[in-house]
Amino acid sequence: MKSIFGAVAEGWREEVVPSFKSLELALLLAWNDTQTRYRRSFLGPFWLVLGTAIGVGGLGYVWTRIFDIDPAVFIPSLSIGLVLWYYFTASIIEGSSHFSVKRDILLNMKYPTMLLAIQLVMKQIVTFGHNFLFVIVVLIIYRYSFGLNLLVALVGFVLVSINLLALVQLIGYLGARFRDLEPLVNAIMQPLFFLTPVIFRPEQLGVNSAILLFNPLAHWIAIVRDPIMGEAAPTISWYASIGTAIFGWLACLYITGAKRHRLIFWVN
Amino acid sequence: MTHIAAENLVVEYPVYGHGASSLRKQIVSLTTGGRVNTDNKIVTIRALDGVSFEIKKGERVGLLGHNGSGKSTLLRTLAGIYEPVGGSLSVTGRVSTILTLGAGLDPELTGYENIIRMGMMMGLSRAQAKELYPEVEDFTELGSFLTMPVHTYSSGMMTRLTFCLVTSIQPDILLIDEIIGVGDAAFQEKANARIRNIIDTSSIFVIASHSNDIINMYCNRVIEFEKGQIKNDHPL
Repeated sequence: MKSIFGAVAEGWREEVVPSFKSLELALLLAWNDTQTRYRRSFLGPFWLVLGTAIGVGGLGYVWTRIFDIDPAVFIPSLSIGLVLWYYFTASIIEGSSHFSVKRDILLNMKYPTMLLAIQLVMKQIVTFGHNFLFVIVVLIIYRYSFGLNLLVALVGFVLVSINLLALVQLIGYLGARFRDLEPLVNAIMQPLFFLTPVIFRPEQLGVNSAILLFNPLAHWIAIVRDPIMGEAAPTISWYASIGTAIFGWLACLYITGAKRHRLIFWVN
Repeated sequence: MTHIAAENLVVEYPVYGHGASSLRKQIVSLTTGGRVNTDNKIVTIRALDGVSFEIKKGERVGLLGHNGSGKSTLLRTLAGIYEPVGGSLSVTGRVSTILTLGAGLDPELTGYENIIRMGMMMGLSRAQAKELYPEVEDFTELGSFLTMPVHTYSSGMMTRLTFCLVTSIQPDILLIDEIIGVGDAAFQEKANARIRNIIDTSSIFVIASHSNDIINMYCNRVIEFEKGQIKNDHPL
């Protein structure tokens, strides 16, 4: 049994370093995935954008009527929240089975497992990029200004993606070992949606908004969405996101370092 | 210096699904204390059991044996995919593998797109991978099929493409499992010439096969396996 420190160091040295040296490859493979998914499709990835647009249109119409809230705040908030939510769930749900899906690669060449996680997150970022075009349209319609606040949002997005990468790798290993994880994750994501301020604003919860403090996804959404909408995200959300990143990466490096030679037998 | 040395090599597979694989069983085992412990032991299969050999440069080794005798496991271990649990193994040189037909190829992408993809997966830059085009066109003779998605290829065509790509990066050590037999006679001849060419530039070639013809055609040494152990090792 390796020591915890030894495993973390091995995960870093044998997986993270070589993976980041092959970023160009991960980008190509992520692009290939996007390409092939829509090869014979007319709208391609824009089907997703259309889906987002319909979702925002429908929910936005109903919600602004029911709760009598200002569409100029709610619609942009909903669009950004939904697009981020898709990015999170798609990564997490796909992450819970992606090593089994990619077993052909693992079984045929010596390949860093972390590179597969990077590839998955990059693919989801490509999709997010498409969806974000819709967000920009919404922001223009509601006359939001684009300034330095977008840079802050970008920092938030990078931090969120760093978090997500660790989570995908961690869930990938656990999901490869325990096949029950995939349905479990699927079952959890749905209720979690209602506990995350996507279709509501945090302030609508009033005193109950304290429960959001314990939902990392709420913090991840806040540090990207608030700056885009020209507000400062709560300081606690930045701290929480940095905290989850540190914790997530330690866990992900540990499991990668300790179990990277076992993974192949788990997916086999 | 290209070289492979194995000393008392042991490789074991854990088998899940009969013991502790599901989360429920793990949780149940937490609540019921040690009672289900016997159930919790992971069953392992010893696929290679104390195997020792040495392969020097210029050797073309054929692995013979029944299904499940350890040939493919040995290839994956040499490729660094499986980690031995006992003994020692040293592999010096750049390794290339053809273990499963069409592995790494994306069936939805065209032949050309797959050349870039595979090239980069084997460690080339995008530009270097592009330089493989003429060589692949020439060797595979796939012509306009290279502009078609790979899922339209026959297995023989896929073998041509994979074989050409894997050998085009000038590996020091080439590991092949069975699949060469899929190609037609013309391909066999070309593949043979190419392998000889690789051997000339100081390399090792290892192929696992059931067919004596293929082993006679490509190899100058045979290692026979039985139940994870070497039964016979002789030059050809």
